[in-house]
Amino acid sequence: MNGSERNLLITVGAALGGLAFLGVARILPSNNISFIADAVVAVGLFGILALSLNLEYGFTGLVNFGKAAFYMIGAYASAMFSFALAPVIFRQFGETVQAGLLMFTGGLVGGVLVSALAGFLVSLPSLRLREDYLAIITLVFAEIIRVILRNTYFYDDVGGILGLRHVPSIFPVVQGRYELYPLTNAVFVMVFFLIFYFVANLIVNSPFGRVMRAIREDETAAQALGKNTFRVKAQVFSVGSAIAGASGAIYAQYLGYTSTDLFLPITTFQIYIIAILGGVANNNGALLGSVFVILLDRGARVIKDYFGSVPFLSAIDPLNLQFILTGILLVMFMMFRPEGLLRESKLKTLPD
Amino acid sequence: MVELTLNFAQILVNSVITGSVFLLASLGLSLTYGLLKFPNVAHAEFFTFGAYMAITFGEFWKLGFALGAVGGFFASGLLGLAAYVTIFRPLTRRGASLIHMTVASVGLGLALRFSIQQVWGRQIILFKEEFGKFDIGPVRLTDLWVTIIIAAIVLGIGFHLLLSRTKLGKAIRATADNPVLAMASGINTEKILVIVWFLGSGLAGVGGVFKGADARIAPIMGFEVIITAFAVVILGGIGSFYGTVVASYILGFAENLGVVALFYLDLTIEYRTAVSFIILVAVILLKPEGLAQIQLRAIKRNSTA
Repeated sequence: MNGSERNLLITVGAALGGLAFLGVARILPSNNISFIADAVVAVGLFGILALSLNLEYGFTGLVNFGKAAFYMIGAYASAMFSFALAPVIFRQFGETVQAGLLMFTGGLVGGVLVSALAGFLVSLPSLRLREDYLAIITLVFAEIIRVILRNTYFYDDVGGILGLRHVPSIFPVVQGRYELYPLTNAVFVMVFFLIFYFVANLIVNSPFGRVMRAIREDETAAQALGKNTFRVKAQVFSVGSAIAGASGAIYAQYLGYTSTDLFLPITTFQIYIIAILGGVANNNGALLGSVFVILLDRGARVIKDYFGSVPFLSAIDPLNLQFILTGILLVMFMMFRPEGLLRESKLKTLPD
Repeated sequence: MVELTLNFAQILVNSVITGSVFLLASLGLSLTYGLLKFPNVAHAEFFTFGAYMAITFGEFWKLGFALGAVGGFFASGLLGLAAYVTIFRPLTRRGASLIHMTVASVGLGLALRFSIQQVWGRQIILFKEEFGKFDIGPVRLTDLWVTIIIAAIVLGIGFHLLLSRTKLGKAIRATADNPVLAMASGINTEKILVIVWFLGSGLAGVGGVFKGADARIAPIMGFEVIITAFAVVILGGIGSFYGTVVASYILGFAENLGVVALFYLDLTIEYRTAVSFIILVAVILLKPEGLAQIQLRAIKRNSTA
């Protein structure tokens, strides 16, 4: 580790520590466990998204500027599937835990499939071209699908700017104990994060994962070795979109609501800073980066209460500051350490 | 449904106005894309910044709309130049990949957009300037629209003369074509890049001024237009001036036709942004080199025949 790397680590560490301190200072007096649990849910959701971006961007070198769109498609599709399944399931099981579980599973499967299909179709036109075409087409697609969903009403009061309300939640609130809801969801989301973590690790350490890295390093060489790089890229993009869709499905059932305003382009860039900060092509980094970004996000909201009383600082909106900082960090990492904080994970292959 | 008689002349004029704004917004993007080989997503923010600086100069400091627009040009130009010198030039010198350059430009765009939001607020701002309205036959025009069209014509002719008649233009074309060869033949490619970044960003700023005066100023306005700008750049052919001109007006026309079609289909006109996506996908599928290559091939065929 040379001097500049150490400085970078110290700076980031100090920022993390400061934000964590502020967060704890704010939370402990009010004893607000839900606040922490909600942050853990966000860490899990963004962690899953970062894992999926890592597969595309980190391991295969595919630029997807539409991650938020596939996240949103997962949320919308799963909600729609849950709505469609609801009458049948309620007739069979009544309002029981199994009913919630079944509706979520149906929604999750539907959301994942639709998201994967969308990812596959969007990537298809540009995968044979240079990587910048994929970047542009995903950026444009994300914005347009958001505008379209924002202006489309499925019924009079379903969709559009109202979003989808009453998305079935997997853990119903029992006897009005609302504080348990984020807590159970936090555990649930983290379990899903672990599942996808192992899935992602399995993928990248398989022969398929080696082809992914080969494409990132030198696509022509991979082709020369007889690999169908076009098919591999389309598969990676579909899997990445599917995982993002799963995250969206979990998000929708957690909030019990979903809307296009939750998936602004800024979400995509937050996922980028997570994947890059943690370590490009390192799945452990997804969690590290996610913790950092969520601390920054929650810290900005907490700090807002402190900024209000300080004469000069009260003029600065911490939410603006958060995204200015995100942008500057992205530029700084690209300039000085494009591989991120953690090194790329070593290939784990079974000995013959 | 409301019966409406279509005013084709008005649709055509509106298309020219929309296309002119697209031209201003996309030309710099196309040229820097061609020279440095990466899509500069932060270009959107040069567009927005021009609008905000123009209203600051023109109305908050009471210098008038014209001086405000000039101020917007220089402010955006200098911002683009600063971005090139402090971020993209060092990145190029380090041999950063296309992906890293693009992600850096996204980060820059993010930082700029939220800085703008911090300084001017996230609410919409409107120009107080009143533009005279008048009719020519069935066509309604305003002073602003005439200014936009004249500005686009001046830009078109000016750039054409610059590229075809001057030594600087020749050097720009040579650098875009093959930077190493250009440098080897004694062209100061560094100077060319600086000029192109300044001009391109400044023109985007002017586009922002016009768009802002015609509609509204908001931190998101640049991001809204970059979606179409990318369609223009790809359709026109990356780095091609003439391609960008033609593509801008094609997109302008398509968007206005799209609005009419959506109206007749009884759908919200918010869907009109989908027009650029459809064109983008179609071009990428059918003709990823864009219009510029088509022209070249036609010329070659004529010269050999």
